[in-house]
Amino acid sequence: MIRVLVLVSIAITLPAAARNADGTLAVIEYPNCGAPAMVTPGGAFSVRLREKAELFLVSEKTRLPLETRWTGREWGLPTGRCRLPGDLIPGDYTLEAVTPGATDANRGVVHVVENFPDTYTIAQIGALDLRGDDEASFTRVRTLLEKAQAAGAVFAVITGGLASEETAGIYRPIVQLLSTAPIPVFTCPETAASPVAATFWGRGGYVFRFGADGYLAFDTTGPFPADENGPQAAWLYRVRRRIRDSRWSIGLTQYYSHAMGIRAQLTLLVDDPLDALLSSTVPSYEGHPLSTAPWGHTALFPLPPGTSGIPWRLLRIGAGIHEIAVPLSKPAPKSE
Amino acid sequence: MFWCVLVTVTALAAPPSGQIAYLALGEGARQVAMLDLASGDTRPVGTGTQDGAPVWSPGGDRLAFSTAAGDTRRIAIVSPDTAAFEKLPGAHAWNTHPRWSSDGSAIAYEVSPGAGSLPRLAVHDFHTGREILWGGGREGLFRPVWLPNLDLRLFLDPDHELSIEGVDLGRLWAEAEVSGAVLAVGTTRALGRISTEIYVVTETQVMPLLLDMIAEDSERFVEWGCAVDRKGRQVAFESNDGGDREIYMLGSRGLVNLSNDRHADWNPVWSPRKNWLAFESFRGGRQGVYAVYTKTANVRPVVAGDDFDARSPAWSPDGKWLACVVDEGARSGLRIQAVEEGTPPIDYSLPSPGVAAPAWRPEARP
Repeated sequence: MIRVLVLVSIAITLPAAARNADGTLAVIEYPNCGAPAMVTPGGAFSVRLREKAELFLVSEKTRLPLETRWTGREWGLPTGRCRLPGDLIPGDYTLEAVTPGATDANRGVVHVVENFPDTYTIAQIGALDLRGDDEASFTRVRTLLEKAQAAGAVFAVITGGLASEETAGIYRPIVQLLSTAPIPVFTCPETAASPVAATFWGRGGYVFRFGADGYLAFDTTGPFPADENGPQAAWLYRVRRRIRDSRWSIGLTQYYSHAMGIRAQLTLLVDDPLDALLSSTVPSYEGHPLSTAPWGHTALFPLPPGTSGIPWRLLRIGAGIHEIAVPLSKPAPKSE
Repeated sequence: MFWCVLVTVTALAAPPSGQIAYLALGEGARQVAMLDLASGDTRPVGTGTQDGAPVWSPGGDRLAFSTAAGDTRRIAIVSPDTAAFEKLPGAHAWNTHPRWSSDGSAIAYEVSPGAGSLPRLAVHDFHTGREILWGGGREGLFRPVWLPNLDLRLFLDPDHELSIEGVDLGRLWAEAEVSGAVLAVGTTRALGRISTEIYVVTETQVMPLLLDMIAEDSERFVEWGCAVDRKGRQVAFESNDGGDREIYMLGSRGLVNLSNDRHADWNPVWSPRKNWLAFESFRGGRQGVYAVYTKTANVRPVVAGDDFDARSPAWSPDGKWLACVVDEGARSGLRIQAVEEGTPPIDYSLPSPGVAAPAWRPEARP
């Protein structure tokens, strides 16, 4: 219990993401520390806000007003595109939102990179299952992200559950963990498993681009994976089309089974099939584990829970999408 | 318990009467509820917290829906007027997607050992109280819909000379005469991957709807969302034949693409009135509810807009109105719209933050 309190107090007192005092998202829903933006100078990134706001890109030296083009509403919230100046210095920036009644800031969530390489490496990480009373589990995740960075990963995707239970008490220290991660970290939505999740990580799901490639993170948690009765089916159809022109279109989700919501499967695996789907479950069909979605086309990259430690792998994205060996290297220096 | 409901009528219009069952979506919970259109009152049906979409019996006296209890889902049968409630004693842990036979004497539904398994079809007979696996227990049969009669046979097998490998047609039609038949979407293997076809299913037999005889390379395409018209002579379904999802109709004129658009069209729902079909389409950018007159394939928007999604169309018993879910993101509500143009919509802002799967109560049978 004491450890929980220590972790929570660290999360609240450190000058991390502004958010609300209880750690939940305030004005800015996307980007956040579990779904950041990666963009080049002169490029643009998407935002989703609880209300329209003036936006600023903030670093230690600058506070740059952003020109925002409002593009509509998503999950009931206003969305927009922010374009960056071409001479912006690469680095990690804080996104600040100013409304008549409040100022909110998501720290370090806009990663401005010099360019998007044609071939790059990402780290896929399975279920973290972090526990508030297990401080060492947070250290293990931090160490793993440092290993991924040392292996050349430009970002990490977590395709498993973040915590052993979806509560505010455990999400608060995870916000702190991801806000200070050595590489950008993209998490998979788990709103259907717990309404609390949406208050910390945003609702529904999100899409992002890394150069020529498009990524779609969507929710398959909860008692009705990829539920057909709610708003997700329409949202999936729209965002799938949004990344249709990508070189590779890659889905990120926690759970995949051929028996999950059929409408989502028709949209993402049949009518306009993703090139790859990264998840944490190993789907099987007729008793055989699958390497490709049973509908055809989509390559599956399942990463089930390991017997010891957090499962993870490196994927090389370039002329193809394939797993590469984790290079042997000196242990990354421990963080202070 | 009755909730107060805000009813917004954009302009004066005679609202339809009757009741609509729907799924009330709350934070992590979903419960079948009922809306009285005249008073605007709503009330929960049953005590479930993880219910599935409600389906009315043909006489409008009972509702069927799946409801969760621990790691199982059972089919609940509820009489909203008397509050009588029973769960069908199925042999399987996971029971979903019930559909009533046209005389209300049986229910077909999907059964499986759990949420991650491909379903089989079962039928519960209310006369015998027994559950029987249909389709010979074949795995991978989804979303049953009953054929109200066997008129479909007239164009499937007009000369009674059809021969299909693995299907005993004589037995199929004999079983259908006694116990009825359902259409279901079934998985199939083609070209090294799974696909789907539409099947006629009886207790022991599973016969493809012969789309491969009508549509070239049918096995390449994935069908879904099968619906039978009131007279049992026309079948609507969705298919990705043509590159994107379209609504097709199979009937006496053969196979017709009714929706033909480069955006997805899905979820066909037949009107009680002849030759009208509602469906969902993205042709306007957002998801909208559209209706098509099947004789001319003339499509008209019913509920569609730039800043909301509309889905799950349900026809009124007289076929003049459509109820659907209007979703603005943060909340969703029910809208009722006349199919005839020029009539303003009626919006029901319900107590629950979300609404799904409306089902208009049929008129009581004499």
